[in-house]
Amino acid sequence: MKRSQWNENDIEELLKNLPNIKDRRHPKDIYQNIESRIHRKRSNNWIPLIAAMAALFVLAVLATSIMLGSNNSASEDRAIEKTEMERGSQSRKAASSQHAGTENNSSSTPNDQVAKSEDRHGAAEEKPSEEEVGINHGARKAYFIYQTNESSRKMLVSSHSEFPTIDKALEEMIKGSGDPSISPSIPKELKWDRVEEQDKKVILELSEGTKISDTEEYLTALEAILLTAKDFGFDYVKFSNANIDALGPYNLQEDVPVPIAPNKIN
Amino acid sequence: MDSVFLEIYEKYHRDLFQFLFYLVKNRETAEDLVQEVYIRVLKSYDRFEGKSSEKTWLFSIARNAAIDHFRKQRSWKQKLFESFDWERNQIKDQQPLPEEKALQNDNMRRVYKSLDDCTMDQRSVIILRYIQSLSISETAEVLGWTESKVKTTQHRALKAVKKAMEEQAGKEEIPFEKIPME
Repeated sequence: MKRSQWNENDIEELLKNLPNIKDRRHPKDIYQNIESRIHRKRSNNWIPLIAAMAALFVLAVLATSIMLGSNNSASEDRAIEKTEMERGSQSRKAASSQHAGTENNSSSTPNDQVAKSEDRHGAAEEKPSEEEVGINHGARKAYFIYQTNESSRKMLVSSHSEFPTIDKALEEMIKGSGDPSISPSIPKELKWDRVEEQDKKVILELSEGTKISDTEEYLTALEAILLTAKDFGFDYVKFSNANIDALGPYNLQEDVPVPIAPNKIN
Repeated sequence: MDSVFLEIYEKYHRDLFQFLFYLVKNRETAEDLVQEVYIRVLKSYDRFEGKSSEKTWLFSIARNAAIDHFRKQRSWKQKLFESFDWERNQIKDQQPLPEEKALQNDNMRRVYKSLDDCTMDQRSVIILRYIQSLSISETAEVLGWTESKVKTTQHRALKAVKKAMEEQAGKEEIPFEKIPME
């Protein structure tokens, strides 16, 4: 075959005779190119380096500020929580001392219950013993029982709507709001003939035959009434014709003071 | 002008340029690379210890410059998915033939073209051994190989050139009467 005509020597000879390729440039030009390239290289090496360092610096600053920021907000949250707890316990103390004047404040349960009741939207399920939510003065709202499920604690929550008179609000508290998770706070058996407003006191004239029993149901109703009375600007609630002397810690034979708003939120 | 530059230029510029040109087969690239060699040499000339000859030292710098050039040329995909294997990869540039008269000859042209079918290592050996007329041991020094590796690579390089030349001849279907054959 013609194709295998070349032996190694032929190829070696051909390779040795490959043309000499010359650099046609003048050495001065070459040197100039090198010089400028060295300079360019230097600046080229520095600029990205500086840029990278600047970027890293910015990143570091951003990262630290973000981390610090999250720390700050976390600690702020904790601080707020703490102050709320403190306020809560103070107001509980205040509430119970207030009751101490009228009653022997034997049990803390009703106070807790009152304290736990939420004034504005819905119940504060979590940390009810810590977060006592202030009562919004002049909101003129009714209070209902809020219970997320059978096993959870009952809590008092205020209505969304306001009422022109305490009379109307109390009526609503017997009927209920229609929301299944919000139930009436006053049992139908608790009846009154009229509601008399006397300056800082509201008098509920209980109907003949209305039997208040010392049960949680009535205690809750009493507290709901107290909170409602407070919303309407009263300091005391008097239950006339009460068949029992005491309901929980409350002395029904005397004027029952409304609970102190623990942490009023403006 | 730098005295080191002048000295190297006078002694080795022709060889360095020639070596680089046949490695990359492109005049402009060779021009850039020979400058790169000067830059590297001027930066590290004081590190030249005289263990190897100045010439082999310069050739090894030139070869590294060429290798770096080819690395830069590869696409990011190639860089990502493969490490460049100098023994296997073949650098096929479709560069125009230099205008040199010697390459008007069919066989010279075929030999020149056949370098494309050699690996980077084979090409390096061919250039150093046949174009630069370096000895086996000098070539080994430039490449940092053992002499036996130079020999086997040289052998394979010649075979590759031969095969490539035969393939070209077959394709071109040019009669070979000009070629003395046995």
